[in-house]
Amino acid sequence: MSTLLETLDQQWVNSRLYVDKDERRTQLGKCVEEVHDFKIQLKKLKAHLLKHGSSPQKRLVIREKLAKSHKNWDSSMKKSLNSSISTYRKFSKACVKPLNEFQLDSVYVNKINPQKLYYLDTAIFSHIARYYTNMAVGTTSDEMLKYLHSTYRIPRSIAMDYIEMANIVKEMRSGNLNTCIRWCQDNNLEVLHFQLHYLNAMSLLSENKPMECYLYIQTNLASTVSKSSQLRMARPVSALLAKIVIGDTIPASKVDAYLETCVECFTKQYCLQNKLPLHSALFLVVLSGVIGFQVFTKYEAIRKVSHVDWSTADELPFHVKLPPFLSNYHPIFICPVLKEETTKENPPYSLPCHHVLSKKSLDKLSKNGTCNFKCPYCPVMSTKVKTKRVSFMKLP
Amino acid sequence: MTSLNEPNVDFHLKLNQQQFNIPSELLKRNWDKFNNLYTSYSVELQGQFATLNTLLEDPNKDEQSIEKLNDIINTVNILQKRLSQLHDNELTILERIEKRVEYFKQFERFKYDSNTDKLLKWYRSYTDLLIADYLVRHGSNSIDHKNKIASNSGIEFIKTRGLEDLIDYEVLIEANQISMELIENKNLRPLLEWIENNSAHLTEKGSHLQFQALLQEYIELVRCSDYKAAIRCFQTHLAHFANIYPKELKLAAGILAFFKSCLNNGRDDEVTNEQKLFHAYFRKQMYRPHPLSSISSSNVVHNAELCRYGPLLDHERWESLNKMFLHEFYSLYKISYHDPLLIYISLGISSLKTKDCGHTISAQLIPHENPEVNEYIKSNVVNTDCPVCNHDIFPLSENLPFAHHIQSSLFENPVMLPNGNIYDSEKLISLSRKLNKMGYTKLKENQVMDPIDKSIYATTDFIKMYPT
Repeated sequence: MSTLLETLDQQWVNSRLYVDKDERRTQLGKCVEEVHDFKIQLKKLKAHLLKHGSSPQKRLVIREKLAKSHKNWDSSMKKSLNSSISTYRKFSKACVKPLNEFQLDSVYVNKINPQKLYYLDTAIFSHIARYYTNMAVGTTSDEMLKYLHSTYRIPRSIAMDYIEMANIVKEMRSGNLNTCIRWCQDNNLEVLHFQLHYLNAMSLLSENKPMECYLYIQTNLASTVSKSSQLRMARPVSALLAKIVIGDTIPASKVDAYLETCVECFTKQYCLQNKLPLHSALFLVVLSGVIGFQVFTKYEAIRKVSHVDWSTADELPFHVKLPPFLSNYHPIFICPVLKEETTKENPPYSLPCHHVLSKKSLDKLSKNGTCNFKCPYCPVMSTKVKTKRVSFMKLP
Repeated sequence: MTSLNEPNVDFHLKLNQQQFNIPSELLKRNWDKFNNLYTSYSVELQGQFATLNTLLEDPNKDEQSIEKLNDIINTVNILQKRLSQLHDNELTILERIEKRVEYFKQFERFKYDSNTDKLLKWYRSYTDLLIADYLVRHGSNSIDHKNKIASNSGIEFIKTRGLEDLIDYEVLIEANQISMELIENKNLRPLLEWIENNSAHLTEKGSHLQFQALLQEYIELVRCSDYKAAIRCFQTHLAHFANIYPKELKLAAGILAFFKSCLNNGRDDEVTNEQKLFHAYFRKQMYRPHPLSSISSSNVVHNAELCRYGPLLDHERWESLNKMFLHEFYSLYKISYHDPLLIYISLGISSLKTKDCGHTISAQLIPHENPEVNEYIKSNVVNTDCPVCNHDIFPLSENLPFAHHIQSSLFENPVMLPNGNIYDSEKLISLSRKLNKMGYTKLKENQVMDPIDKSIYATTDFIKMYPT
């Protein structure tokens, strides 16, 4: 359970930062109200003064009242001001300070070469082009490309890859799925094709047009559903039909959510079809950074206490466990003897028993090829001549 | 723990300390403004009330006292308007805090539901925030003179993405503007203004920034030969620092007399001058001994005594002034000095980078007689989506360490072909079937083709491997 977030949320944002959370009233707000009340009081006293100013006795009373209300006002202002700043101080101490347990700068030990930062700009361009070309201002592709160039300096060559996708997404969001449906037909994407028609049917029903929805299902979805292999698709359609029969509708929010799912599916398919990376590289690197951060800060904390230094210069001193989709890009072979990753300089070799070792450990075991040795994993004897250089190749 | 192995919610909050550090500081600053405003008006009102009091004592001054009371009401009215503006500021800041808490609550929900798709989408917005931060910090600014609001590509990005509540871009762009003025236009005005507004914080920290900025102002006056103004600047601003920076001030005073000779007599033999220069440095190590840059380096220094003025005239002072300013600025709001995006990228690359990254397999490919096969293999088989191998990211990984692995991560059913390449046997067979199906190759039922060197082997040649 997250304690920090809960304190922030329950204790502060929802109560202590305010005098009254529901009205969003703060101590400073109270001050402003007090100024207002004071003004009203002064106005009232002015009216009195205008009316009864001639009588010396009344004048005296008004004078006293003025002095009193000024004094009261001043002291209550001071009180509210004080409690306002003390609230902030407490907030800062109780909520904000615990967040500063470590400094982001402290883990930035291995710095990126500042001379290479212009590559980062291109990576950012690709990121924006991949995800947000459809948000570019403009009605034609040309206008959108121009906008991306003038705002972010994204070159045409990068944005060009995504402009068709962006246009289709734009159309989808404006409620027109036809181009996307055609695109699916051209690329033989049955599932997405079905999803789009289903989305159309959903929006018809949500607009309270059950008859049109029914006819739409009949012409566009029935043939796919009737194929025996597509039972999976039959279920949502039958749910839709049932809704028509009992006279139920679909809330617009559900349709919107489903639209977003379709957009997501479409962009994925578009990237696959056009051999574009599914995610921007920058996003994947940052994601790995977030996941790795916890280990880096832990290491940094230990390093500080025990005065160990960042040990191996070219390898991290710890393992970062990344999810499978971030760690399966390259085959990694760790030599079982040296416990080191094999490289171009220290490649893997296969023994006659088909166990694999790295070249360095082979040299050590065979004393540079001068003697026979036993495989560290089985009783088979081997010589260096009998080994064979191998390479691991990952297939998609 | 979900499949991403992502950190917990509190850790995310700590990573985003600046999302709360800044508003917390802003709340206090806003309060200061509120309080100062009130105090100054309160003093004024005190006076007005005192006059009113005496006026009321005199029954003949009826009209005047009404007038005075009107004045008071007016003052209070203005006070109310100005205070409610500050109060609106406060509410905006509080709303931001609330939105941010909501943002992390969203993350908490997705994590709790183990909803990987939603989590990835959330992390995408997280990445966008980092990108926005980077762009706002470094973008070149355009100023809308009508509203006096500065903007740049980062702010544009924030607005299109609807991230306004999650990043304090006004603060970041203020730093960017002052820093750009220093570096690009050699303009000290905005910096000096900022220093004046934040002098309390700077003195508390014992910062050198104010002195260095004023010194620079003086040097620039000398550089453009406005000696009168330079002397005035020295007397009014620099003289207070005589006890703290006596050496620097001596040099600064000297420069007034020697500036011309520093510039004029420079040209005779460069080499010996440089040697003298170094000698002088070692004798008087007051500043960083870096070679003098640009204009000054070629013509400063005729004799070793004069060259000690070199560093003062050096244009690199602007750089160091800028660095000093950014350090002070970011520490004021407790923002990290380095760009968070770069920090994440550095850690991310190191967590991902394998020894294989950057060595493209396509270089090892031996072409097949059928170009279609080559094309297919190039784009479908050896093409990797590895983010570190990406042509934009790989150059950034240059000086960064590799990931540390404790276990091999290979594939199922490794088999070795006679040429030494080891593949996943099932995938190799299915690849060969696919190539046949598409009509690219005519392999027999029990044959496979090595996609790298295109040699054909029988499945009976497979040697089962036991990598550990």
